[in-house]
Amino acid sequence: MTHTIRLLLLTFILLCTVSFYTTAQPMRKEKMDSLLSIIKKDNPDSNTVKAYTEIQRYYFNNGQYDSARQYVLLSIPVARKLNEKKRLSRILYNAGIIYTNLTRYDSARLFLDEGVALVTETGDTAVLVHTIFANALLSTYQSDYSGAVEQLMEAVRIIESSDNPGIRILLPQAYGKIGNNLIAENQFEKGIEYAKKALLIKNYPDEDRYSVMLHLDISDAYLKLNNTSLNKLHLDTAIQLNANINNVQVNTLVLNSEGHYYDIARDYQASLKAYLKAYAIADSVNNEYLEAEVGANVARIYLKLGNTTAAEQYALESNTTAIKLKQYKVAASTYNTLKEIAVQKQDFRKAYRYAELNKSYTDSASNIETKNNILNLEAKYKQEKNKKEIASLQLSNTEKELAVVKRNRLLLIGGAGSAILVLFLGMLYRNSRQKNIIAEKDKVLQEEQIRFLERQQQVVSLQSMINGQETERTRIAKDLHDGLGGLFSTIKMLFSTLQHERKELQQDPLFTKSYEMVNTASEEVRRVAHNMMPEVLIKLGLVQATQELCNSISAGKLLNVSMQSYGMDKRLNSSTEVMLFRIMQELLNNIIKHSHATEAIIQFNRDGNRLSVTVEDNGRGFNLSETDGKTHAGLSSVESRVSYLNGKLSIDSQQEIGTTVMMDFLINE
Amino acid sequence: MISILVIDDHPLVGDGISMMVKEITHLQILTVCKTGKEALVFLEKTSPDVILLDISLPDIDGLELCTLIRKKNKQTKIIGLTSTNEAGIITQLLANGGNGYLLKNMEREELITAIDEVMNGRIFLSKAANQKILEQFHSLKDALKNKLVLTRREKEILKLLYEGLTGPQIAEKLFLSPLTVETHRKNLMQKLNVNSVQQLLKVAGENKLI
Repeated sequence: MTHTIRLLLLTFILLCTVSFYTTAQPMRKEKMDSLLSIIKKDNPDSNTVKAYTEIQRYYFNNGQYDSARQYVLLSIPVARKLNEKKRLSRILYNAGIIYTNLTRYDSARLFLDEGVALVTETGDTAVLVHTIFANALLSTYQSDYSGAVEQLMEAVRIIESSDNPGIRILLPQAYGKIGNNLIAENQFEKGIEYAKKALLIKNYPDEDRYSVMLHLDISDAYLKLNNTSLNKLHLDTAIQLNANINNVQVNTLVLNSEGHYYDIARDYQASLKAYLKAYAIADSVNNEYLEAEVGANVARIYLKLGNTTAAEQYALESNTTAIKLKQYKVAASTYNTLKEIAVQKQDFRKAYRYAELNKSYTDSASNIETKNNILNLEAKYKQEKNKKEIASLQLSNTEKELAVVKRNRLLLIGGAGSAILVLFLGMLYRNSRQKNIIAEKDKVLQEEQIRFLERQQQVVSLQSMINGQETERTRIAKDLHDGLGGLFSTIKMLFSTLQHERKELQQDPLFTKSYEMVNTASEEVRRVAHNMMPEVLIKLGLVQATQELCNSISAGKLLNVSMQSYGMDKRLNSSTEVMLFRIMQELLNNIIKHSHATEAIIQFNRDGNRLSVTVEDNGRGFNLSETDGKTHAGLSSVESRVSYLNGKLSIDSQQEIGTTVMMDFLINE
Repeated sequence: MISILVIDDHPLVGDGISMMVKEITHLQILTVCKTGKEALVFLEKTSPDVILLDISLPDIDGLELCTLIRKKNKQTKIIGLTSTNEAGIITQLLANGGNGYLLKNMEREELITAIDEVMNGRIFLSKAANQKILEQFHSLKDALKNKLVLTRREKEILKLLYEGLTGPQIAEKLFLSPLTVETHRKNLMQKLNVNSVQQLLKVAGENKLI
């Protein structure tokens, strides 16, 4: 049931998005008439397109999606013909959200994709971010939560690199949506982290309303984590904040969550009270989507309280609406309630029919999810195709370069010929230079395309890579230790016993050699497993593990690394610890490989939520601007890990004095 | 007769150990437990002289299990058994009431010596573990001296603060971002345990850091 609540929240967030963008105001009839007369004019111009967009927004805000759709379809060819790119991108965005609300997801995706391509051209960042938001929402509706998160991460990147305050204020939304999707994907802790991050941002329009929803999301996640006290805390905060804004839709959501809370707590009277209130509000504003959802809940609780008549009434009503709106999960839930009622009335024939219906609707709900899994696979395939495209572009690039070189060589040989030939060649050269210039331009364009594709690729793969890598490493290290390590140890024990029982074997070189090699093998297994995931990091934490890393480097006598830590008594969450440890490894590795340093210091300073990590050496330093790319491959992976933890990285390097790397993080608990 | 309980989830390690001690009449392996819970149940009724405890078990963390056993039974000697050789783990095991530490790829003689040593009330550490402990000791020595070490950047910033420069001025002078300077300053204050720049300069002066 909580799943549907979440979807509702999202619908609502969508409404917010639109209101940010259009500042929805009630439109007077005269205004509408004048807009309609503008679009009826014979020679359409930019005003016509503008009028179209306003009409679309009006109908959208009124929930008249079909009318909005008509005007979208009318306006697109006009905007195209007039080459009004900026307005066209807005229309495409409108089309995306309208089709989404009409549950025509495929068409919505097409419009939004075209929108993204167009906005990349016009550089209208606000529309770009909103279009990405809409795209992410679409992914969410189709249960592709990780896809949504990827898109939202891209949005975060765009927002963070913008100085425009109008765009910066979209950051809490982006974080909130990421949190919402993570929670939907059952990554509760991570989701809570993002929602809390959004809560930390203050002073943006509609902050109150948005905060309420964030608190609801968090409380929902805590409910799933079985942490009832934190669930209650956030629910209460949401209720309290909501008292100030008194927005009817938000009220419904809050009350629905409250009902759910009491249901879990088995206080059915209180639960019913909350659900009924929510139902009354949804009814008064005619929001059928909410009505169906809440109605199903009311029916469920009436049944638990033994009031079958009321339960049946609500279930039937909600059932009709849910089927109309394709809310399969709600429909399934109502059929379940109806089945229970029929059983209590001993009408088994009816009960059987409802059970069948419940099953078929549960199936359709999960069918949608299966379909989405297939779509996910398709997306992965596209990603693969991207890779191939990059490769083939690179190939054709190299081929072109080769062709240019060849041509130049030919010219050189020709240059040794007669004077006439020289003149002739001179012309030829000019000609080829022009060709060269064109080829050059081509190359630049192509390179840009490569870079663009590569960046896209990076964003997509980085997240999953970092996430998957560490889990995989932990697993492999454990397998090595427990499986192979144990096996080798046992072999060695047996050899050791054998040697004791047959003393003459000690003189047998074949035996002593085998014994030695088993020993080496088992030490090798230990070394590999240790490098992969030190046990001390998992069991005792970051500070101890880093200390040990420093010790073993210092024992090598080439570099002396000391470590200090302040305020690090409490452990961080384990994935953060692993990530920070990897950063330490990379940085120390870089120091050993490139810096020629003799001393290095690692320092952890934690004060409340603030964590700063400093790594400093006395090496020869480097020039940051010269080393982008290959020479400091280690640094780029440090960068990506730091940004994964949402930290700030600053590197200051002085030639022949040393390098100070400083990282700042906000730790959420 | 010395009775021994082996706690290890690897199907073969228990056999290997039994094989190693089978000829020694005064050593008797009572049983091999595959999980921490199984061991705790066994220890309800029986009290072995020596426990060989694998510190990575599928259910309970071995270090924690060591504490649990020690709480209930003061007499039993506990020897940690691991395939890793990490100083932090070794010292933690001793702190949790362990009497010794063996690497799993031990030799027969080492196992027998270890059992003898702990039965005589001494601590036994395997040779390889000794090396690690020694490395850790070196770094502990520095820590015990209680000497405050400032990083190069911290020294520079402290000096400029002493000269009366403000954060942004320092940032400009050192080509750093003001935010970075701010973080260095906060770190310095935390290290010297002070709340204001005045106090910072005073304490730094007292400790001859400027």
